[in-house]
Amino acid sequence: MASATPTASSGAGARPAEVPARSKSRARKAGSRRRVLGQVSWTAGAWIAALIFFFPVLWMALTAFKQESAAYTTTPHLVFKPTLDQFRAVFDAGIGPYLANSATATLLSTLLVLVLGIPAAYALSIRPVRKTRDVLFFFISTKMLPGVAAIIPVYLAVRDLGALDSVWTLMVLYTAMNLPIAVWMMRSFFLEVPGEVLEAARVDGVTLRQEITRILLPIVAPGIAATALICVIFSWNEFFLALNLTSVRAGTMPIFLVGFMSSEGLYWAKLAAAATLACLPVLLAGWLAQKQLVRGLSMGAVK
Amino acid sequence: MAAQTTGARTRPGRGRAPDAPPADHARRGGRGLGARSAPYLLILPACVATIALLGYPLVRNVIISFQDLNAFQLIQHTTQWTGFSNYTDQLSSSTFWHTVLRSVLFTLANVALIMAAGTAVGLLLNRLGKRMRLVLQLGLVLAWAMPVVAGTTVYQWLFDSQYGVVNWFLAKLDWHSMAGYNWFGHQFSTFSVITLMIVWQSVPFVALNLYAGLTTISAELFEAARMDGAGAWRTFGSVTFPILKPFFLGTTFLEVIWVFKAFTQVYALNAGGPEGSTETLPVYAFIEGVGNQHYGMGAAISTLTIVILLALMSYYFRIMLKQEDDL
Amino acid sequence: MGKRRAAIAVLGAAVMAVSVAACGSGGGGSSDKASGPDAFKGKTLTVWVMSGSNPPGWTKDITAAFEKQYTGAKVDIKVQQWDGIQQKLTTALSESSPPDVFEVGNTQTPYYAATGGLKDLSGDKSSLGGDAWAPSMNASAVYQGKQYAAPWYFATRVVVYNKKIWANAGITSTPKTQDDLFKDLAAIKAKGTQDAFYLPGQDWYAFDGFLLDAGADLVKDNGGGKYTADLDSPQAANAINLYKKLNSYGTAPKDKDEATPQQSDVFAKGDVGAFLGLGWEAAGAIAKNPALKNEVGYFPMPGTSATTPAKVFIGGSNLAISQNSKNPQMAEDFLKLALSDQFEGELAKEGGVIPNKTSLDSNLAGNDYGTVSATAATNGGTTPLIPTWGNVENAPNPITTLFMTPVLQGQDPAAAAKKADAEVDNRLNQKQ
Repeated sequence: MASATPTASSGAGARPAEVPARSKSRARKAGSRRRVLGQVSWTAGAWIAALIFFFPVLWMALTAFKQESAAYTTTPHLVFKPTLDQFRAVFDAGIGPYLANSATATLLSTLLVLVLGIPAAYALSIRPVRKTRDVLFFFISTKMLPGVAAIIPVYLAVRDLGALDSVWTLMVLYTAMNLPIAVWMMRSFFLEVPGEVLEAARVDGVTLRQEITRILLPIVAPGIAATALICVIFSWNEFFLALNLTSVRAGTMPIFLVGFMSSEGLYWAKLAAAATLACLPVLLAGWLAQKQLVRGLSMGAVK
Repeated sequence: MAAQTTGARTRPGRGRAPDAPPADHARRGGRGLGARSAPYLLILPACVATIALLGYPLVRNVIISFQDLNAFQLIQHTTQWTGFSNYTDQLSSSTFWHTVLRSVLFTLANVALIMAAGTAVGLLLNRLGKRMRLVLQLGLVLAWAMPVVAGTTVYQWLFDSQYGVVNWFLAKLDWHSMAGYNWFGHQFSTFSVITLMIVWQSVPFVALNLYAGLTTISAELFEAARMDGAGAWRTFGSVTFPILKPFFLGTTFLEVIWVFKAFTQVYALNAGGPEGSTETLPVYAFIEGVGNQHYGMGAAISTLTIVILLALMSYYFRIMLKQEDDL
Repeated sequence: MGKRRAAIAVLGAAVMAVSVAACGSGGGGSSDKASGPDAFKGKTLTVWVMSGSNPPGWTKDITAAFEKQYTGAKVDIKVQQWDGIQQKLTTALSESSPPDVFEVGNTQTPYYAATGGLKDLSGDKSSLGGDAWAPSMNASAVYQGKQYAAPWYFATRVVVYNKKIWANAGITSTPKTQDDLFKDLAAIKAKGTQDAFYLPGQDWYAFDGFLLDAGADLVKDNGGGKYTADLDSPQAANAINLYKKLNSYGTAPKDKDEATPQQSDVFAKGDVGAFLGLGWEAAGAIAKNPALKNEVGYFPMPGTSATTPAKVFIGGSNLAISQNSKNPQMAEDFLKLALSDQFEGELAKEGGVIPNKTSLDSNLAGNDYGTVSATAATNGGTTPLIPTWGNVENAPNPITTLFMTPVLQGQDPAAAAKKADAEVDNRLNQKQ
């Protein structure tokens, strides 16, 4: 940082005409100093904030590579000998079926959400119906339903249908869970499509299906991707429904983790490995598709 | 990018409010009656799915709340009606009202913290250079994406009385009474951990949304404010906040809903303990309904939860609807 | 006033009597005839056992024996955790394909019997060997005069100790009185072992033992099937203070039970002097840490006098068949096999648990835990055998969360007892 150049302007004998120039340059230097100082403190603040948000995830991932003795201690170790033993133990404990169930329920429900949601989003944006606002409101009001209010009716209905402990049940429920948000989000992406493109298409006389598939989808593809990603994350992380509606065959990753906790509660490193594996797909998605996710999150009405 | 429900103003290329009937489209396309019903048909599958899978549980839950549904009735598949007794039992119970008060205060405290921290981080994002912003964004996204079950596990370790990092760190800072402190042994400290976790996972949404909103405000406005000598607070108060008011209102509205009905974080961290002092309404409904196997009572409690939430939100509804009308 | 196993409380609510009678299809014995070897070809029998109840050898042998006897049949034995089992059983029993055979704790059996989810085994009692069951052993499986489950085994908690740590502290013989025990624990602690005794704050079965030994009980019988909570007594205060003292000889958490984390896992680490537990917990510790194999010893929890050990809570498990089972005949045949002298004997030998017939007690001879546990079991009690007791055990259990943990954390026993009693009474009086 530039240090202030000593100046005699404050002393006697300064000519009035020179003062403004010199003080202006001083002001400019002070200003740039302030700006650099400002930038450094913003960056420092950003690092601190980033660390705070990162920390639990980082801690979990680190602990997964530790030996049990290095994990379950009073003094936390940042330096340790890494090992893959814990991950091996988790795989030996039979994580496979749970992974498969989670993947199935997540991917299929997201697909269904897109199939059902894209037309609805289109209708609510490009070709608005009357009462668009009411329909939107209806969709978003469903978010007010607490899980605990839904669980008994859903359990009873699923039980009476003989559909307990089934991945397909989860798939259907996750679709319902994500549909409102997906419609909301995709609608806002559709709203961004320039009107000229649509007018041009209509002048050419394309059918409805062609309009959607050949004109619109390519434009909103990034938005659809963002929506799909968010649906994937929600479905993968979903815990409450899976807990109450599955037992042996259809358990998902969060269920595996909770079961693992009760049998291996004391073994933090192993637990960390299981937790890391449970988070891995969504964390990877978050990292690699960060830009899309952020875009999606900023479209409002998410969680 | 529009950050909210609004917006003919911010949408490029659309000269019309979204509610206006698509008169000239129909004429232009020349598809007549089919064209007018097509949009309704497009919405139909999604609406049906939502009504069936989300509306049905709501209705059935209310029905169950008028029944005596305990282990016996569940196993025997019998229906035993009991009128309003579940409701009168709850509304006359001091435990219920204490839980309501606790839930409301908990929600308000959390939402205040989330909005404050989220706004701060959002403003921070706006001030950073591209590289730092991506770093911070990554941290935010990872925190948001983490499954709640994994998160509660990690938080339980971090705050473990003997082997937790937090106690070790606090003791290192010379706060020695924290050395073996049992965070989950007292109401306030348990709530602190729960709040920290909820705020940690909710701030990313608020921050990223605010940042997106900030990018829509043209730089000239900020320049003008700075020229006029406005400091950071003044700028926020006179420029940022008024323009982004819909965003703040909408986000607060959503956060209130989500925090009020938050279940997993509160339950997983200490199951509403110690001595039931951290039970919020959803946790209370679960413990009464599912844990104690009095499903009818649980249904009544969860219905009351929804009613209370609607009451809390009615003020917001009015503001939000007024906002929509103003646009 | 101990709640002896012989006490059968009749719940007054008329609703129960009507409903159980209305319980439709199946009741009553269906067969004394043995099924042919191909009777269950292609069918799978689902058996739920609780964590710790099925030693590996027994599991292997009984599965093999059943599948050999009935060609083409399969037995699927699933292990369940105690935490949350009540909710799980309730929902499972309401489904169209509940588990065919399942284990249910003796304190919870009346609760399920009253729901009508258990098959009435009255007609099969003899063929299951029921004539030799002592009435006291059978008490929890009988409800309103009908046999709803079959007694499987009993187990009591004893002190499991690490011989090496005790020898290291210079202790040559196991303590016979509580004073001796505390002297020994002090010696162990002085030698540097942080966890001389590991007793987590919410092991209410252990606390019940202390309470019985102090001459009181969790509830008192007011006659006519009405029970009220009785924690607000000087004996309860003595019992919880004894508990508190024991807890102070280690670093066990005051607000967790014996399964969170599993006591056996803690003991397996090798630096715990002793804990109060069951045979399977010791076996589990040895399995996780084979170095402990010859280092584990047992002695009954000492009482105040040197001649008799302390009274204990007598835990036990029954085996039941679900009313809606899709394979009732198969379930019965499995039950016959499991309750046969051969397999009851094998269970006693391998697990050290007390079998349901006194004639089989000799099988405990070779099992260190079993011999000690049998001595302790001559002097004990259990919880009242009423359906509403099941409510008390639902999480959060008021005995642990409103009495034990608060007192351990410094609250006055009388004040905590009043709060806990109110909640227990609430649950005991809930309509079913």
